[in-house]
Amino acid sequence: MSGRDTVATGRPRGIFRRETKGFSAAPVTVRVERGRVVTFARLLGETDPVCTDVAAARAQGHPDVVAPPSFPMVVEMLANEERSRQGEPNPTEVIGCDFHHLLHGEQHYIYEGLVFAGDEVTVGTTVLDFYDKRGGLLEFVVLESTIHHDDRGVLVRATRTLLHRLDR
Amino acid sequence: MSEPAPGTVLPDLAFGPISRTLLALYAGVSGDHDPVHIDVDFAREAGLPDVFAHGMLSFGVLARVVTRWSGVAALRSFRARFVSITHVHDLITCRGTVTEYREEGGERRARIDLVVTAQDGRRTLTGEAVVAIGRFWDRPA
Repeated sequence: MSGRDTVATGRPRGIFRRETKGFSAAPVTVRVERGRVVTFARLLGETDPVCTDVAAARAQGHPDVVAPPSFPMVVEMLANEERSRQGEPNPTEVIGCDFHHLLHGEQHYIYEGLVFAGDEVTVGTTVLDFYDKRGGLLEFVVLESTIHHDDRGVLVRATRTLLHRLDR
Repeated sequence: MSEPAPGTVLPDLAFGPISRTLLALYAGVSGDHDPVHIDVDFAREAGLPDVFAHGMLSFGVLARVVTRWSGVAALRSFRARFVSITHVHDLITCRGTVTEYREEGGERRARIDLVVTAQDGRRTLTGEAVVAIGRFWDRPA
């Protein structure tokens, strides 16, 4: 813990590796499987057949079922799995996430195009910033990801804020 | 049918109660394997009384309030703040309120304020969605 600031409480300031600000995880390409999209959508109770029924999706002019709005998180998780397979570090490992303290603070998506089953998409993630609240009892990290398709360009821009709650 | 006036509340969506089975299935299908959501031993080791729900599970259900009105293709952005923990057995209610219309990106867009509450009135998520609007409100819900 040497080299970290200490707050008034005497608690070492944070667990995140602040020196990783600006780190970009290796972009990796993953395939969006239809079964995963449909199972995910059904679990959330999705009733729009465009997300669960390929015939309904095609009837509306889509090439395959459409990934629901929260599916980009799944794509990011797939990208992490792919990085692990390639021996590349994941952003959450690089920044030093500790699941004993970790919470999801905020999630923001900008949708520039739909993600369809069958797509091969490339995912890149950058460590944007770290900050503290409540005298360092809460420490935050902001991660920015893009999901990109070779022909259709950027499909989703994702900003994820994670935090360590250090008061327990 | 005309454009819903600002202040119009979209039909609420109730979901739950959140079961341990649901959390296990969500962990599996989402790829979010953080043990704090599925392993009570780990949760206790972390100083928590029990496992708790993934924030993104509520996000996913809440998004349906918007997309069953607009369709998935009309969604332009979605912002969620996870303001408190969703516990096992919580029954959540997802609500969207149309707040304003504006011209942006060469199209007309609606802004929708979002909130998820548990059965005791506790807010678990607040947020905002932006959708492009056309004549999609004539779509069957």
